[in-house]
Amino acid sequence: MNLTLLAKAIAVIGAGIGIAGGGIGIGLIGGKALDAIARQPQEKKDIRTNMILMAALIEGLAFFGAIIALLVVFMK
Amino acid sequence: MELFKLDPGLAAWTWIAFGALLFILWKFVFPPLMKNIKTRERTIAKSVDNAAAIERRLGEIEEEREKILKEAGVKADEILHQTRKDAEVLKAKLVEKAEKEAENILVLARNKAAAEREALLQTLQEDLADFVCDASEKVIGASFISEKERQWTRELVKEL
Amino acid sequence: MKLHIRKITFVFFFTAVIPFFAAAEQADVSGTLFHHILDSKKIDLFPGIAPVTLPFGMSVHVLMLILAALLIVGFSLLAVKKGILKPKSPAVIVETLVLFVRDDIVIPVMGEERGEKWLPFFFTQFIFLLTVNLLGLIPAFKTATGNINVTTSMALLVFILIFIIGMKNLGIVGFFKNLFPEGTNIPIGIFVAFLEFIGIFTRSIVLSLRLFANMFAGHLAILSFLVLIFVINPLFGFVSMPFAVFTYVLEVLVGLIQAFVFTLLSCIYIMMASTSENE
Repeated sequence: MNLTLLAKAIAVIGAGIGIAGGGIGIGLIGGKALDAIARQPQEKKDIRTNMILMAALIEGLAFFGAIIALLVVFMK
Repeated sequence: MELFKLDPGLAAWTWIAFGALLFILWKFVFPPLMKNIKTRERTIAKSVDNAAAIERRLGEIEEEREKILKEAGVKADEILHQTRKDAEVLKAKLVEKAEKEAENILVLARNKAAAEREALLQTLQEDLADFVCDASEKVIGASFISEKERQWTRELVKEL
Repeated sequence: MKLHIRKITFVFFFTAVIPFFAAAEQADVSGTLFHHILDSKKIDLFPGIAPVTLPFGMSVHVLMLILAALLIVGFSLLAVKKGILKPKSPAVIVETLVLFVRDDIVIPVMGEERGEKWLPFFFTQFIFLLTVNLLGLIPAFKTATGNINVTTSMALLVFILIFIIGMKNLGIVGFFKNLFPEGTNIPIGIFVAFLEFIGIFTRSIVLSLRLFANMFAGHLAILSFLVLIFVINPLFGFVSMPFAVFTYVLEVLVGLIQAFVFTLLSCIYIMMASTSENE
């Protein structure tokens, strides 16, 4: 029982780390995209589309971590 | 795990719903919708073209107007100049003519005055001669002076 | 308008919180959470009312899918019938969405000519996913895209289309030849082509997983915040309610973005597989 609890706790911490990584990635993307928009406002539409695309790609990875953690946490 | 439970029925239903939706949209919704959008886009494009053409023509007209205005200005200047010159010439001519006429009138008047004076002088002389003859007759008391002598007296007075 | 919003918010929270009174009694937190997200053959809205079993062995997610399809069909047919010139016409929304998909997704990726041809497919994909995503946000409704079977079958469609269109455009030999990189020696080329081939599978799987994970995790987050009220203390509601509202509003955005991303990525994948790199 205690070992299971430990595993679950570690899974949750792992999910947290994974989401933190995703957060860093999305932050970088958002910052660079804003930089680019500030530099070239006429390309705003293209940059925003690509920014959302890239953010979604990274967000997907973060969510995989969360889902795997969920699987462990709710495992009977 | 319930999270990843396989459910073929649900998958099949997804395909059925999506397929039916795709079919209906493709068949009944998209043709009229795209036609509307295309028509509107064409209308907008045409309007924009029209506006551009109108603007271009407006520019042309403006340019033409400018040109005509400029030409008219030049022509008006020319006409003004010509008129001024003509007026100058005319004025000179008129002045000359008037001067000549005035001179003529002056000469005429002078001549006339001279002639009148002459006539007056002659009448005066004749009258004087007559008067002299009459006075002589009165003094002498008889009519001694014939017509011939009277004539002679007149000549005499005239030569005086 | 402001009063209207307040009313809607109140009704939303009222209906959202009610099911958890039952959970508090059962004290089975994970069971309650999953019960409200996963599929089931029965509809049970309120704790007092006995659950209604759906006919024909349908589940709630199937019901949601059909409801979404019917909504879209009804709305777009009405839009076509009414035209855009009438005031308050649904055609304004439908045409805006069509133009969004055409100008922001399909034509930039596929080009003018092919984009026009493929627009109905991608528009249907976009509007279907969007409607299903947003339907799940209505209290007492469920998110069908939070079920991996739904997203996988949508991604499977894209996976099949990648092969069909790729082979139709490039030929069967050309399709596999397209996987080889230009100007490398043969062993490395084979390795890269193998990776590319595996990549087609992984891309499709990730496509389905991304949508599933986003919708599932988002709703799980909302429910987790709400469940905390019953697990910890009723007074904790003052803390967790704002968080739940925030997540809920975020979910509206996520539903839109995920539909957009799914459509954009499937468009890019199909385009990548069906044009050779030499062009």
